[in-house]
Order: sequence, then structure tokens, then C-alpha cells
Amino acid sequence: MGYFVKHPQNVHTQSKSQKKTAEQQTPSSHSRLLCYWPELLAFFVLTILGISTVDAWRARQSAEVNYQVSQDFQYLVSELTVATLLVDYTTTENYDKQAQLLLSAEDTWRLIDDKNTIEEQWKEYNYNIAHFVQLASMLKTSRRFIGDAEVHFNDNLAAFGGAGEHVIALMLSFETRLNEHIAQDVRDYISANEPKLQQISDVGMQWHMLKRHIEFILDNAVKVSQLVGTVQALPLPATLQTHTKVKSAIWSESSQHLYLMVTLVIANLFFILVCVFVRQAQDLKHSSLKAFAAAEAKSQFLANMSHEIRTPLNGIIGLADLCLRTSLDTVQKGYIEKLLFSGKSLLTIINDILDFSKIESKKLDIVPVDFDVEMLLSNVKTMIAKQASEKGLELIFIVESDVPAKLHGDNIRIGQVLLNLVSNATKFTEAGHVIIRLRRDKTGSETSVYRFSVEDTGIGLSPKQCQKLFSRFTQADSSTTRKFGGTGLGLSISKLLTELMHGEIGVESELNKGSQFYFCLPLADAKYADSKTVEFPDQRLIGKSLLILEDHPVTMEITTIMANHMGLLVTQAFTVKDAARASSQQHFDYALVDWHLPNQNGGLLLKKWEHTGEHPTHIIIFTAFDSAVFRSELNGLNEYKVINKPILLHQLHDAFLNEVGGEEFESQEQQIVQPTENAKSFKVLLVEDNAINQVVAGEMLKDMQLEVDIAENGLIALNMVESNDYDLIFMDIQMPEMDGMQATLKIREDYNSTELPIIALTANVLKDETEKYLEVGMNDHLGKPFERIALSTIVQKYRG
Amino acid sequence: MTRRYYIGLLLGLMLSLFFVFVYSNLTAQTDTTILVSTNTQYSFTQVEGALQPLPEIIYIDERWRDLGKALFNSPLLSSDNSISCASCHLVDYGGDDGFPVSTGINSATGGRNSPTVLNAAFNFVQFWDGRSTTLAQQVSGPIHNPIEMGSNWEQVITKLKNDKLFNNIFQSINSDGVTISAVVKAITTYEESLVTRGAAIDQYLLGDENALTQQQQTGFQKFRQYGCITCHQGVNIGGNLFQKIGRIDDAPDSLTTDLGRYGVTAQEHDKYVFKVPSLRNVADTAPYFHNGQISTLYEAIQIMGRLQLGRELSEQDILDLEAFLQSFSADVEEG
Repeated sequence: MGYFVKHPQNVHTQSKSQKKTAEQQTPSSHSRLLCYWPELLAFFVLTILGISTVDAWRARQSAEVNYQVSQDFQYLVSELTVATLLVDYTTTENYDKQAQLLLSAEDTWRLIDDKNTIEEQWKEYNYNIAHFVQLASMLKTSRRFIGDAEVHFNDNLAAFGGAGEHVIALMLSFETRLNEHIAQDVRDYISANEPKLQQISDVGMQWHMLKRHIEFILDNAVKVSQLVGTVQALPLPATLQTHTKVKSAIWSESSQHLYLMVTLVIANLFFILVCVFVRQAQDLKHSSLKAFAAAEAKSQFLANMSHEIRTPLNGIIGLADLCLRTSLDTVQKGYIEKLLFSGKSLLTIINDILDFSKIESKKLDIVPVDFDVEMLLSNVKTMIAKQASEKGLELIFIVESDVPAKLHGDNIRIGQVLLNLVSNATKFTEAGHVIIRLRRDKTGSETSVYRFSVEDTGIGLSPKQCQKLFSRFTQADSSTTRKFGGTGLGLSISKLLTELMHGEIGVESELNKGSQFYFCLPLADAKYADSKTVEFPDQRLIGKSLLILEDHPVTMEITTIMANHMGLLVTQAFTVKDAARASSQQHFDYALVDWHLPNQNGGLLLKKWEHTGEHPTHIIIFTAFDSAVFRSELNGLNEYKVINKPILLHQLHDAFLNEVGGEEFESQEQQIVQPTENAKSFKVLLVEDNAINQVVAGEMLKDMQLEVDIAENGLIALNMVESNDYDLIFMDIQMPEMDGMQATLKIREDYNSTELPIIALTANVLKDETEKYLEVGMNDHLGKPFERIALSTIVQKYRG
Repeated sequence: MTRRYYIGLLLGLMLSLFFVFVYSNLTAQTDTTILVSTNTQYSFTQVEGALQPLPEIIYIDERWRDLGKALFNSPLLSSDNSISCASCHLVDYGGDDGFPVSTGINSATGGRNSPTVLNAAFNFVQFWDGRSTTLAQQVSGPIHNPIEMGSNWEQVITKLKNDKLFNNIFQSINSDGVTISAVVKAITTYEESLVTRGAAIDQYLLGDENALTQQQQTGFQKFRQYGCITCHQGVNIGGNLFQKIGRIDDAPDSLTTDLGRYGVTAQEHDKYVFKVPSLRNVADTAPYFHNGQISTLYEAIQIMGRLQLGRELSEQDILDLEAFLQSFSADVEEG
């Protein structure tokens, strides 16, 4: 019942984080607006800048108008000056142009913004030109009058006795020189000859009128000529030039100001744009963090789930295992074996899922170590041999000679991938063989690429199936799931693992003709040379004769190559008959007899040999079957050495040598700790709250002839440690009252790790979790569900 | 969140633009000076000599002109609705009223002879003393003069707005309806249309030698010879410069009561200075001079000869000149 409430801590943190996100989602609108302060500020600044821009624009407009007006006015004044001076010329008959210019200038004057600075000068100018025009136009009338008089005098020369003529001549002289002296002369002459001149009235000229015109000219001609100079020298044009320049400068200044403002507005808009981009980026980051957290949660969930499943599974497998060791009838044994198999399958699936999620969340680390190639293959063989032999498949290992004995790499993961491929091959092959081949693909200075290939004679795959084979949860055919089982994760995990190890994985296949899966990995040579290099091949074997009875041609070939490699002289026999004949013709030092042969078995040959006595010196049985199967058949025969197919070079070599030395062959069962003399003195405390696991682990330990005490939680364990003397503690982590971590910390206050080793027993096999156990002072950990071998290995290790 | 953010951005942008817009509208300068531009266009013909013929109107906005004519004849422009512009400027009778000085509201009389409105567009300044440079500027003068129309713009605009007919016309041709500018523009346009083309002198100037009688041609000869033409020249035969009355000889007392342009500039040298009036239609604009003290053209010519030319003109001279001056008259061309 308690599986899901085992994580009060986790549940707590989850609810807390949920609360936190809820808070983030519904903050008050006030603070939400405040978090957009850069945008708000930008908008505020934009408003200010906009207003300033409007002002700047207006200023520029009016500056432009002012400049134009000033320029126009300057132009008009200069034109007006010219037109005004022209009034004095006789050729200028009307003053419309001058009047028009004056009108335009007046109109323009009204538009000037800063009149006061030039008002005085403009008034002065106006006065001077008006005065000039008035006098100049009147002078024209007077001159015309004098001109008329001159004509008149010329017509009546005799009548005036030269006085009038003289006056006219004097006037001409005055007009050309404009001299005050001459003017005085004219005045003097007129006053002196007044009576004489008055006579002209008699001939139709009015003297007093002529006199007035002469006086007008005398009074004003000099004035007008002076006015010409005055008008030209007036400061107004120069002032206007400066004025225009100033206006132009103001205009360009205001233009610059406007451009600056516009630039600032654009910069502001750009800033807003940048804000948008930054927010988007943040948003993206946020959502990716969310996604990451979700993935984290998923993998946490998977870890928890697998833990929860592992605990009861441990019970199932353990109890089934224990059950098998009791006396059972055949039917019961079959049931229990199937139960055990199902449990183990379930465990594989869980491991696969966990691996996959670990790889996906990048929590899986590749740990390269030096490893023995033969050992790697041997482990695979151990795992798969039984399955293969049950199906009657030939499992053949070929390690080419250029592969060194030791390599540097993550043997666990390589083994996992290889095992996966091999078990797939075995699963999908009904008859024939599975060949596992290892060769060097590319040689490098430090790392070489090694190619592991698994070739089968199974159902094969179509090219289309090959394509999607390595993607998640896919099997070549969805119907295969029903037929062959499995999660469909194996190949994707293999792919991910090979990629993690910088390798590649692939498949070559033809439907119904079998497939070849392979993966290539760059692996370095072992860093530390093997210190206990065994002499190979052993001198004792060279030149010895060997008879091989084997029906499978590939196995025969491989075995022959291996034997040749060891220096043995091989004679091949494919049937019992051939073997019997060969042995009757020649004495062999060694015989390698395949047990399972078509229609007959190796036992027949052995019986024959025992009967005739013409048998080779050393006979080794060579089988893919569980030794237990044929052991009954061996009844009545001598004890023979048995080696399991598939054979590896070193195994074969050792088998021959052991035969020489007369030692017993090793089997899987033998690895389990056997009762020894000092076993009684080894006391183990099992701290475990789960009743089923208490039974499973307890029974397994008792099986190893150990003295086992059981504590239900950390607190009880502490008491028991005080009153008893234990050699080893198996500690569950999650327990009520006091958990394993706390208990370990307490125990470590009194005992160090060598005095009292503590092994964590946990279903939690994630790396960072196990690291935590070691941190609190535990010596090792054992993942649930554990198998007996693993348990015994640990016990052996600490038993010293 | 993103959608709301963008909507917020858009709103912020719009809000700040709105503020700027409001500011821009609030601070927009309403131009207080009356700037009136009419688009009347004339075509001038240049001829040899001091006198120039009147131009042809090649474009005038008739809607504004007609409105201007109506306003010109409307007594609504005076404070007591008793007189109109046309009361003193009879367009069909020389453009003035024939009195020495005009009669305004409440029978008040002014100090100066009303000048003709005919061809006034070609005068370089308006009024006898040139206190206005343009027709547009001139318009508000008589309206505000307490002894002329005695009104003000506010009153005039209100009255025009209340007059259904005027209001409708204003609304139809001016987007802002009745405004000071519109009134001024209408009257100005109308005044610009008052061009008396086709006078005998203009026909003569344009090459028709038979347009002037023999006596008139003699008069033209004397007009030039005696120097009248020094001041009375150009398109308007005068109207393009200021001149002092009595430049050569002292003016009679009847003409020296008015200080003329001195009233505008307060400059000593502007005493007795007046705008040289246009002689166009001079035969129809008696009485003469700034205060209308001289009732006949004959007298006026005589006085001018004496004061400005320094000549005692003979009777024959005066008659010849008078005959010539008759050739300056023509009627307003109807558009």
C-alpha cells in the first residue's frame, strides 16, 4: 500500500513549486505593468521626444520662412535701390517698376519677425529713397523747363542781348560740375542782371517761373547727387546681408536640431524593438526552461516509477528464485521458471525505459575503463547461451586476431549494446546460427575503430523497416510486438549509447535471409598493459592432435581455426561414424565432442569409446545445452569436462590446459559462495522494512550460510548494532521512523567503513542518488531487484 | 502573454502618438494677421514711353468677385446699416461720390476727398497719404473709421452670419464660412476687377493714332513737354510715387490745411506730401485734390501747372490738356 507515500519530501517540493508558478501567473496587475518598465519608460520618452520634435519642426518651419523672407527682402531692397537710382535717368519715363518694388518690399517688411533690429535703418532708407524720387522727378520738370527756355533763347537771340543765354550756359556748367561756387556765380549773375532778365517775360517767357526752376535746380541738384551717394552708402543692404546670414544659420541649426530629434525618435523606436526582441528571447528561454523542467519531472517520475516497480519485482524474482531451490514437481518447477522468466523480462523492460530516459535527459555517463575483450564476450555468452541453446541455435563468437586482448572503453555499455543486438538476433531467428564477430575496422595511432557485428539467419528486414528501426518504440513490424514481445526501446537505446560513445550503429538486411547488425566504436588500447600475461599458446599444447566432432560447418571452421592457432593438429569429423572411424585409425590427445548432433548425440560416441577403449586421452564435451540437461544422459558414463558453446579462444585454451591439470570445469553455479569453514562467524544485519524483501534477501543470505538478523527500520538497526557485533549491514534507504541515510550517519559516528561496512539496498539506481549514499558513508550499493550472484559477490568482497 | 504584450505595445505607441498629436494641436499657432491672397491675374502690354495701357484681366475668381460686389454694396458693413462702400465709391460714376469730402454714418463728414476705387489695384499705396500698401489692408480702414462706417469686424461678421443670404454664399465658397479674411478677400477681388480698359489714351498708346483728337494729341504733347508726365506716368498715370504739393511754388491756403503723409510718418520732410493720384477717369472724379476744394478740371490743371511745374499755363494750354485728360476715361469692363 505504502509505495506512493514513500516520498513525502518529493510531494512537498512539487506542491511548493506549483504554488510558486501559480504565484507567477497571477501577480497583481500593478506589479505586472511595472515589470515592463523599459517599455513604459520608452513610451514616456517617446512622448517627450515627439513633443520636442513637433516643436523642432515648427521652429524649423518658421526659421525657413524667416530665412526666405529675409532673403527676399534683401533682394527686393537691392533691386529697389537700383530702380530708385534709375529714376534720375532721363531714359526712365515711368516709375511703375520702382513703385512695384517698393510695394513688394513693404509687404515683405511686414513678414520680418524681428523688425526692431533693422527698423531704424529701413525707415532711414525709405525716407532717403522717397526723398530722392520726389526731388529727382521734380528736377526733371525743372530741367525740361530750362531746356524749353534754351530753345526759346536761341530762337530770339537778339532780343536778350546774351543775358538769358549766359544764365543757361551757367546752369549747364553747374549741372555738369554740381559745384556750389558755380551755383553762387549763377545766383550772383541773376541778382546783378535781374532787370535785364526780367525782359524775357516780354517774349513769352515768364522770368519769375524760370527763376524758380533755376533756384530749384540750384537748391536741389547737389542734394540729389549727394542723395545718390547717401542711398548707395546706406547701411541697410549690409545689415540685411548679415541678417540673412544669421537667419540661414538659424535655419540650418534648427534643421540639425530637427534631424537630431528625428534620430532620437528612431533610436527610441529601435529601443522598443530591441525590448521586444529581448522579451521574445526571454520568453523562449522561459518556455525552454519549462520544457526542460517538464523533461526533468518526467525522468524523475520514471525513476520513481521504476523504483516503485522494482521493489515488488524484487520480491517476485527473489521468491521465485528461492522457490526453485525447494523440492518441486516438474509442473510446479515449470511454472516457477516461467514466473522467474516473466519477472526478469519485466525487469529488462524497466531497465530499458530507465536507460532511455536517462540518456535522453543526459544523465547517463560513459565511464571508460580497461576491459578484457574475452570477458566482455563471455558475459554476453553467459546471458544469451541458454536462450540460444533452447532454440537450437548455433551461437558463434569470432574475434579476429588483430583485436588486442584488452581495450579501453565503457565495457558495461558496450556489453549492453552487444547483448541487445545478440538477444534480438536470437529472438528473431528460428533456426540456424548467430555469429558475433569482432574485428578492427580502422587503425589509428591512439584509438582504432572496432566493428562488432551480429549476423543471424532470422526473418530479416525490408529496407523500409531498416530505415525506422532505430527510432523510439518501433519494431520492424508492429505485429512482432505480439509475437516476440519487447518494448521496442532496445535498438534506440543501442543507437543512443553508440552515439554517446562516438560510434555508429547500422543494419544490413534482406527480408527472410537474415540480418547483420553492427556497431563501430572508436576504442583505445588498454592503458595499463596486462601484468599477468599468460603465455599463449601454451607450449604443452603445441603439436598435440585433436579430433573435433561437430556437425555445424561454421562452428567446425571457427573451432578448427582456434585449435590451429593454439598449435593443435586438427582432424574434423562431422558425424559420430566419422569420429569413430578416425579414432580407430589414430590416437588423439584431445577430442572435442559436440553433444547435440542430428539424429544422434555425442553420448553415443562416448559410450562407443568407453566400450572399445580406443578413445582420445582427453575428451571435452562441447555443448550449447544446459549441462543439467545432458547430465542425466551421462548417467553411467565417466565424468567428462564440459564447455559451453559458444566457445571463445581463451575458454578453449583454458579447457585444454585444465584437462591437462585435471581441474573441474567451471560453471555458473560454482560462482556462488559455497559454505566454508568460517562462514558461521560472519554476521549480517539486514535493515529492511518491506516484509517480502526481508524474506527474499534474508533467505538468499541464509543460503550463503550466513547468520542473518533483520531490523525493520533504522532505529531498530541502531539498537541492534549496539548490542550485537555485525560484520556487514545491508541497509534499505527508504524506511519509516528512520531512513537508511540517517541510520548510516549514526552508525558512522561509532564505526568507520572498514570496521562495519554498510551496503545500500535500494531500488533507486540513478547515479546521483547512489553518489549520495557513498557520501553519507556507505561502502557500496546494490540495486533492487538483486540477483543472488550480485548479492554473493558483494558478500564475498567484504568477507575478505 | 505574447499577444497581450503586443497589444500593450501598440496601445502604448498609440497613446504616446496621441499625446504628441494633442500637444501639436494645442500649440498650433492661429495666425492673427489677416493674410489674404487673391489669385487675380493680369496681362500687361508694355509700350514705348512713360504712359502704359491698363492690363487685361486674364483670370479672376468670379464667385469671390460677385460676393465682393455684394459686400461692397451692402450697408451691413456700417454700424447703423446706413451706408455701404458704394455710398462713397460710385463705380459707374468715376468710382467716387462727387463730393469734396464724403458723408459717413450719422451724416459725419470726413477730411479728405474720397479717391476712386477704379484701377485702385494699380496704385502703389492706398489712401491719399499711402497709409495702406495693399487693397486688402485698406478694406478694414473705412469700416473702422468712426466717421465713415463706424463699425468693427466683430459686428460685421455677426451681421453677415445672421444674414441668411450672405451666410449661404460664404459657406458655399469658403470652408470656414464668414471670416474677416473671407470678407477682405471678396472685397479685394471685386476691387481688382474694377479696371477701366479701353480708354482713348490706351487705344492710342496701343497704336490707334486716330483714337485721340487733334486737340488731345496737342494736349499729350504739352503733357509731356511741360513735365506733367514726370509724376503722372505708368499704368495708372500716377499712383506710383509720393510728391509734395507746391514743390516749386507755394500752394494756396486752401490746400495746405492737411499735412498729408506727415500724419503717417511724422517726418518733417513728409509735410504736404501726398500720393500722386491716378489721372485715370480724372474727368469723372471732380471735385479735385485731397480735400476736394477745387471743383473744376480746368482749375485743377491751372493750379498744378503753377505749383508743380512752375508754369503759368495759357488758356489754350489748359484747354488742350483738359481735352487730353478726357481721353483717360472709360467704363469698367463687365467680366
